[in-house]
Amino acid sequence: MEIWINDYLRQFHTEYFIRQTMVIFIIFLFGFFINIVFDTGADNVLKALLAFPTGISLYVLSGFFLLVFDLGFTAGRIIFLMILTALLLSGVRFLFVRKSLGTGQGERMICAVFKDISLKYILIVSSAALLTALIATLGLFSVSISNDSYYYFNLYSKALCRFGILKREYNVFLTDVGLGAVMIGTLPHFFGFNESFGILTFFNLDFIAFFFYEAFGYVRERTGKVSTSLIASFTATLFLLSSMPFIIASKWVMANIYFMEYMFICVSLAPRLIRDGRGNGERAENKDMIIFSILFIMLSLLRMEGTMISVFLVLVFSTLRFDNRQLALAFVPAVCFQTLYDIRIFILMDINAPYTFLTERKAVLQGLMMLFVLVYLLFIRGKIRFTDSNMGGLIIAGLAAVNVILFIYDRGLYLSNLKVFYENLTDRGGWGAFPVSVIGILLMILTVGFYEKRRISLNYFDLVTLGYVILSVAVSFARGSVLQKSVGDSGNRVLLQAVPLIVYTLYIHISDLAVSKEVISESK
Amino acid sequence: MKFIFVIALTAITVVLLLLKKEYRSKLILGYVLVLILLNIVYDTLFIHIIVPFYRPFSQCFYQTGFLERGEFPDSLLSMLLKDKKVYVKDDKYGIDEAKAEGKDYVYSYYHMVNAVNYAEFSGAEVIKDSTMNGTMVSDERLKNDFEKLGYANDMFRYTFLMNDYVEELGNYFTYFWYYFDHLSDIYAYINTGADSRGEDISEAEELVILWDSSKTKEEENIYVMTKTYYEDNIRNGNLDQ
Repeated sequence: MEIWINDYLRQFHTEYFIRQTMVIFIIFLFGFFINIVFDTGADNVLKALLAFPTGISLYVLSGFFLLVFDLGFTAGRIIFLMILTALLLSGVRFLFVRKSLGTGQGERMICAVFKDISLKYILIVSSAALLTALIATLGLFSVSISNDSYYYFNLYSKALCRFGILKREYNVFLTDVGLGAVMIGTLPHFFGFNESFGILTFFNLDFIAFFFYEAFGYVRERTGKVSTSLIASFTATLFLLSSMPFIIASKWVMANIYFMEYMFICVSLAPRLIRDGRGNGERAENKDMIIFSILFIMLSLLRMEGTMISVFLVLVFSTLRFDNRQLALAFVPAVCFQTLYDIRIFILMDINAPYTFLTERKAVLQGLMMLFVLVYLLFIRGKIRFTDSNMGGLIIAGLAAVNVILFIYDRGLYLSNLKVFYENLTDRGGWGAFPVSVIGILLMILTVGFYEKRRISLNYFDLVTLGYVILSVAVSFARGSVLQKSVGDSGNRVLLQAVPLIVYTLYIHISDLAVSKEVISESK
Repeated sequence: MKFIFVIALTAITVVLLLLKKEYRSKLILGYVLVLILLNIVYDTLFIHIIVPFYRPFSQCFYQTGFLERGEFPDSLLSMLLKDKKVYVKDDKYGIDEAKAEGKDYVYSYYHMVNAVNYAEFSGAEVIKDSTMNGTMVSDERLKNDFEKLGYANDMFRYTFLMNDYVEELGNYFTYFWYYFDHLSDIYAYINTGADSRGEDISEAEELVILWDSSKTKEEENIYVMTKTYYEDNIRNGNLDQ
């Protein structure tokens, strides 16, 4: 029968391959166009690397909008919305430029919008994207498939395409499955292929390039040496690629991989937006937050605990030199989308299944927390010196306090979950040698730092990584039942999402350790 | 073991870092490279035990590796049923009828309905034919002409997405209980041979899905074949078992 099945599947091979490759390429081009026109201040390499995540985000957001407002979920309407969004964003951009140049400056306006963008650059990037899409879709890269991969991110996606609406009959899928990854799973059903493995692989390849580029940039800024930066970033990327949790998470057809990669992209972009060297001073510009916001919303949509993680990240971003309005601009869309979804399923559809991850009570609590953060950003931040100076410490203390409260609330469940986390980390939970490597690297950094009397303080990435790990324990508690000793356990997968952050945070410290003051002085 | 190795390696590296500052970057590079090698060793030894991997050359969700484990038969079945005319029995049960046969009342709601919903969801035009009622695949036909594609419990469990039942009957948990807890294993079988017209189920425009019609068991396997095969070998042959 195996031969018969292979022969049967072979007849679809070419058509599905071409369709999936073209869909990847077109989404890439769409995101590329947005990144070029909207000029986030990113350099040309970054514009190319952010293109696909941006394109996917806009596809997901368009579909989400149609579903939440019950406007009919069809491929045509999604494409229409995406084009409309692109035109609106382009229009806004041209208006900004026109405002700064004055009227009657048509040609200068176009030059201003497309400065640093040459035809050669566009052709090179597009060709590279097409080639990568072909390679990603060929089937050379393995994937891992579980029940959730098929039923949540293929069958549920197919149901959305077929019925075109959010139905009450979807039941716990509405409260337990983030629509973001489900929406990505609609691409095969709308555009005539059968699976989204090529899309997943392309995203991974794009992400690996992004990680490498971030790592390269970090050492290059400190040493000025390209060769040193290349070696360091290559080693860091290799460490990430060889880590068992990253291999498993990146190949597993689930929402976790998308969440992991979007989270790292957003966390890395935030300090970039306010970094020196943009030529615009030390503050981010409002328009830069649009693309950032488009990417940041995905975190709320990809996973049900994503909203809580978004709340945490916004507070971390508030430790950077953003204006209050800029942070609100990044956060408000995520708040809106989540609130609209909660209203849709709990009030309009009256979903009431016996056991769900997202309950009405949790949705209200989430909403209050989002509101609290918005109030803080708009009315409190910048007014209380203690809070502004110690926000990092307050975040960690707050997360620790939440964990203490949960421990008091249900000691048995809390301790059982911690035990399971430990067992998964140490025994076939998909972590391999990663935990012990992390411990070794940390010991090295701390020991050398102690002997050399280096000042130990939490930097931005330390805050994100440590905070995320503590938050993972709390979020897993919210599931309500004991975690399981299994690589597929939801708590374990939430923790897996932190791997690129952990690797990058350690990389920063190791780089600082390796690049001693003497070397930095020499390079300057 | 790996913990001791890494701690020892770290200790040596730290000492060297403090003593030989001029080689700092090289020492750190070497240290990380050893950790990478350790990662690779663990990946090679254990990763395939923890999760299975597939190379998706087929461009389809269904991987031939699924056959061995009997997984996701519905990912292939949905492709086979798409744009086909599919004939099924029209033998819906009432609650009393189900109970009289010792079956759970839920059987009367799920029997036939979920299979029809699944076929329609897969893109088939489903035609209910009461003249097919009572026909079955005999043990001999099953042994000679059909092959097991895989477990169908999950396939039916998730048909809650396609149903129109309200509240308890239509929700995920009742479906989970019925197909996962209440029933034992059920299977999907397919006939891949050519029928008298020289067509198999991938080529034929008209197919048949039969399910078991046992008066004693609730577990109902499903059997997919061409209509021609059904007319030639099943309709005129077998009665209820």
